Amino acid sequence: MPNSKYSVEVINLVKSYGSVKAVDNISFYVSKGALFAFLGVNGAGKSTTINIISTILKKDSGKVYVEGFDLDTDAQKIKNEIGIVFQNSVLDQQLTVLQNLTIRTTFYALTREQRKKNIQSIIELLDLKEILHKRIAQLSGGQKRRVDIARAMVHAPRLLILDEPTTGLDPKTRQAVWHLIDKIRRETGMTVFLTTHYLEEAEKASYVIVIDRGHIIEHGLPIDLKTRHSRDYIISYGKVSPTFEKKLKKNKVEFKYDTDRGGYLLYHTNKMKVTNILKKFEKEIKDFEVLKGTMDDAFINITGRKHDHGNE
Amino acid sequence: MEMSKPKKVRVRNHEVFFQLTKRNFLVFTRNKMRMFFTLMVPIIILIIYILFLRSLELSSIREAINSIEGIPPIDDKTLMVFMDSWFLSGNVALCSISISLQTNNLIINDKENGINRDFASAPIHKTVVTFAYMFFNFLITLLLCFCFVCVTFIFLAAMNEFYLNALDVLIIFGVLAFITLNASAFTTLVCSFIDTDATLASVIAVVSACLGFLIGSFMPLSLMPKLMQDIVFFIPGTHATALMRYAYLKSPLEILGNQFNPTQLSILKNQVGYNLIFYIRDMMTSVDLSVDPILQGGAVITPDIQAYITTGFTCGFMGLNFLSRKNTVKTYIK
Repeated sequence: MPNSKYSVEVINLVKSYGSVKAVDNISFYVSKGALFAFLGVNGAGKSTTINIISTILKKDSGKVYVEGFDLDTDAQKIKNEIGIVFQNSVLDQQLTVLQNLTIRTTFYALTREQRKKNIQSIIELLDLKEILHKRIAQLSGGQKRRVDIARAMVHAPRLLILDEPTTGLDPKTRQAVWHLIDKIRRETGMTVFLTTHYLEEAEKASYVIVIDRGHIIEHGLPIDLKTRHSRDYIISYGKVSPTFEKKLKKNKVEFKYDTDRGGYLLYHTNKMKVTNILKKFEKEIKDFEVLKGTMDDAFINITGRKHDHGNE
Repeated sequence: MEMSKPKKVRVRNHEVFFQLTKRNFLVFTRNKMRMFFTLMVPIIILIIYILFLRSLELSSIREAINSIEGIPPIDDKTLMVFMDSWFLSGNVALCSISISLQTNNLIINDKENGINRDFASAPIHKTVVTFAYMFFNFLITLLLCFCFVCVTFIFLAAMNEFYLNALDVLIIFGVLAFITLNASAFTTLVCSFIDTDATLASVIAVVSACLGFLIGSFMPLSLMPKLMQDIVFFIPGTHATALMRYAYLKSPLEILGNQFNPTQLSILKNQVGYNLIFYIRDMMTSVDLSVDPILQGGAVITPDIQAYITTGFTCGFMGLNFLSRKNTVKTYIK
């Protein structure tokens, strides 16, 4: 039986493509109103999972409940409860923003007045008034994404699924899309289910699941993941120095040389705090920074491989 | 933010159908170049006919008519009226299929661009999406073929060969709508199995090269071996061409009929594809053009039977489209 606390419940989900198991017996829950992030590199199984939740793809086995509805018996009801922003835009480039939204509202059992009201609300929420009569092909990447999100929300879904919503966008536009997601959550209380391979985006979520090769390999609050899998450290810029290394070993300071950044990463512990390290190696450490562990570090430690920001 | 949620699960299918048809129509017609080049195909065939084939066809038709025993000599003017109407009607029937097939690149684009995922994730039926594609295809094909039929009328008028009366024109447009529906049902079914634009382009190339000959648009089917005539009998476009021939040739044949006796006229109708012949026996022997096909083991399929057969094909294709709706609205998980 589905739990009313959760927007999505996935239990022992399995999906294979031939001999490749894209999703291998995963289970997770998404609390209502949460910003839930599904983190993983391409091919990890993120899109397969959300396509199953979105009723587009058939699962091999397992149970999926969305907003209390069973995917096996109530797929049509689930479709009314979800809005999906696909990785690639599914808008008609030749049509205007308003035409795209108008056509999409008829896909749901709304009266004519309700449709008008919903479109009006979404125009106001996502600030679409100025581009309403422009063709999609004439819009910038950020504007297109805004309309994509509007399209997914025309029927006031309870769950908004965003499949890598910022992939391919410039940093400024990515930021704008994130402002928009925050605004939607603030004003609608909608549950947002996000897939991403941008680690800094996952950091904004209220809960993160890391998926790799069809398996959930870690989950928790972003801060917990960072605490568990990354450590704060000092970076001491400079060339490789065997004497310095010898001294570090002698004092039992964990370190490694990062050739990319051109410096030693010195990990502090309870015994050897930042100030102690700096004091002890006053002569050797000339130029330094004290850095907090990032989701990048956590990801590398969780998956055991370096993340290349979605360029796989 | 105040927004309304769908109260029921079921959407109004007729409204979705109308909106999707409108969407398909708008998406297709916004691309003016696509519209232009789609219409250009039959017009180019017409230009090639005028420049190169007309004189060649004239001698073939004269030979075919002269082979009928006891035929009186026919003047070139009458022959031209008959021949031009014959060719134009075949070209109109062919363009109902080729335009319909090209128009369906919208279905393929929707598959390739992933727009189908939007339909698949919404609470709408695949059957509605499929039939909206088919109806849109029917409207566009009809519109473009209508334009081409007008071009054929202008050509006939310019050649001083326009002998069609108001009833003929009405019949032509009626037959056009009828065979376009058949073509749309057929090509939508074909395109349900095509997933990429490249494959569609190959299919269009093959169809453009072969279909004109197979359905009797470019040459009378009576010139084919009996077995081949039996095979092409099962191509729906064959009957569509014959029906369009009936519409275009009704009046020209009446003019010719004044110079022929009923037997001669019947042989002529059987030879030029106005009637179709289905050979029941002696399929492996060749056709003797000077002898009535009925005497050579052929069953005459007159326009009324052709219309029944076309209706049967149309209904059959619609049923198959229903069964193939999952292919039509196939989604790709990228």
